Amino acid sequence: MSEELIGKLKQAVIDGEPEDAEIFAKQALDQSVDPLDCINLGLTPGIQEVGELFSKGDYYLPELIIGADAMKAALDILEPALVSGQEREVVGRVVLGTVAGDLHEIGKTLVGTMLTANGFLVTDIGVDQNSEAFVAAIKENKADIVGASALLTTTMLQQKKLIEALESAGIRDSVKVMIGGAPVTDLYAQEIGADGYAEDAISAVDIAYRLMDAPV
Amino acid sequence: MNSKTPDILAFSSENKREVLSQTQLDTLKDGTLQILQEVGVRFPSAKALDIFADHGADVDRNTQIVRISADLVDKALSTAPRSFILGGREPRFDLILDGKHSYLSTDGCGTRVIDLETRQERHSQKEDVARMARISDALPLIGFFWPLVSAQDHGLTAPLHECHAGLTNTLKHVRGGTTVFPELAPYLVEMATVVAGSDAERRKRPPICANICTIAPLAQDEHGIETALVFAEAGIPTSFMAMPTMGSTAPATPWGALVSGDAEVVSAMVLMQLAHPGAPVFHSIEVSLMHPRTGGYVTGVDFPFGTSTVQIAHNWNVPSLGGGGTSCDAKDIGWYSGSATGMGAAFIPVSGGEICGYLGMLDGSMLLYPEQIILDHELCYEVYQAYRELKFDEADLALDVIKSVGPGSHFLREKHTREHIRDFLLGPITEEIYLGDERRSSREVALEKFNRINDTHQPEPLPMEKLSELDRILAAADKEAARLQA
Repeated sequence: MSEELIGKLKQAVIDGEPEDAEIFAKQALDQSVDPLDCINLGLTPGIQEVGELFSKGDYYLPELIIGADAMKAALDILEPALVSGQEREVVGRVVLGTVAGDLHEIGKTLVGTMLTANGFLVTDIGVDQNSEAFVAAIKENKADIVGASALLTTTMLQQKKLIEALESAGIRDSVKVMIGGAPVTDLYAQEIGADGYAEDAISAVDIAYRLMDAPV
Repeated sequence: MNSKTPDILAFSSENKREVLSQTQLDTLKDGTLQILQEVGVRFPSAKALDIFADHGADVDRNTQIVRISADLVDKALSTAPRSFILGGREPRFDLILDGKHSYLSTDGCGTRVIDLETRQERHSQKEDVARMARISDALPLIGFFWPLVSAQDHGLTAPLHECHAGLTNTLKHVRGGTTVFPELAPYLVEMATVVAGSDAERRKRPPICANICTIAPLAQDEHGIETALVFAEAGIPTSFMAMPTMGSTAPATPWGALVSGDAEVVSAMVLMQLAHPGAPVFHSIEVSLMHPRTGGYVTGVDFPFGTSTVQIAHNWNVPSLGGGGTSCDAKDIGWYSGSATGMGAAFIPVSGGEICGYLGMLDGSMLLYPEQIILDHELCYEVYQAYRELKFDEADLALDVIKSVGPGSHFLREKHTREHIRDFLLGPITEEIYLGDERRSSREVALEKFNRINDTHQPEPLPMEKLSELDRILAAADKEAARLQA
């Protein structure tokens, strides 16, 4: 029974069915299936397969997003049920957000989805977030990487302010900074002292792996 | 493992633009009839002269000039079919020449190739023809395989080897015939019969057709016209292509060049109908300009020749070869080739010719860059998409989805998006140029795509017994060619 449910969780992620994923996660807990097995043997291989299908060109971004949504729906049920000491394996912890004064969401969401599909634990704090909100989320989630998105020439300056805020808070050395957005360039990233710049969601994964010193 | 050959995409002719009024077409026709009756056309073939004489034409044996009355022209052409089929290996690759579809052809026939490995220019070989047939097999807009280059490693039987390379490397229709020694033409017919399966099937769905060029001004080639008679007897469709050059082999006006070329084409079509009534023929005029300083051959002339020639062909009630194409004079891939091929592609739907396009060559159809066919195909695909029939369904307004998403969010999570995002097919160049953050030229992406097809696309081969038969026919033809040369 547990194998069957774990298989259904995996398939719900592959098929991009968040409602099904939520139902199967609840059924798993009702039937005392180990939530860590559900994650490591069901959800993680499911999202990896979604990533592979995307790499092969069979899946498009909408399938990638909805697959990550299905995984998140199940994780929201399963993670609170993990017993003390149990923790799912992740490549790294990432806090993502769009900077203050900027309401653009989609690029940042895609980066989060790609990172999730590639084994990162992503906390998305949303749009129009000031530096204080980023700092708080980094501390709360013990983030290895913070990703700050800006789509406007007027708001990209907030990325520099975020780095200054990290220094003021004394956590600059413990978190890597990735920036992105249409007006942002690799050169700008270097100028403001960011650790990485990604042109799109796919290259963001490579950058994140590099920042974690993990093999791509 | 064999590859699946994609279905052919044909342009619809419903966007055809008429540049000539019926009065103007009638004037051109009268001009052609006047030339045929008063000036005549030179046929350096005793066989052709006999046929004309037997049907009452005015034949001068000394000058080999035939003058044809308007009545005889009209009577002869009344038996020419307006519509016929160019057969593919399977019926789904058949091309129906009925004025409702425009099928794209590869260009031909050049003599120089940029080598895929060395990137140096060299003489073309049969291997190049075979490779380009496989590539064309994989490209859905190409419906008609014209050997892009000559099999120069095969001497007198080069056209037969080009035909063989086409028939054995694509499931699509092959322009397999051209001017050869008339003694060699029956071998091409035999090859067509083997591939078709029988004499009757070859007539019904001929797997090859031929193109015979006339000689401007107002003359025919002896071997060309006698070869065409062999094809006509066998029911193999033949296009007659006039290639008048304004200023040298034709008057230096577009209408003068067109009427002169038309007289050449019509005289050949009349001969075919007199000899073999009902023989499938089609009409083609490719006008060029003499470069006023070098005397060179300039195809890029700002005049709607393609559209005009299609109308002229259809006014004779026969299909047309020509009408919009990507072929151009550029010597390398760059802005000029891109703009010229793009403009040429844009004329395909408005010209409405049955066979057109001429993809894959540069430098006046003489030089083959492997990646050019991919670039041309992409351009034609953009034009194809721009002219495809639009479907309007109120449900596609997706108001329910817009209401569900609301302001300030996005549509990536919607099932509707997943169901429809694949409706938009990106061409291979545009699709891949957006992937990754490398700065890549279209040319580089096209070459990569070419190499991928070259490495992986293997069309369904002909059955072994047919392949053996074709080899036997080729060997016999080579032997006959050696005898002719001796």
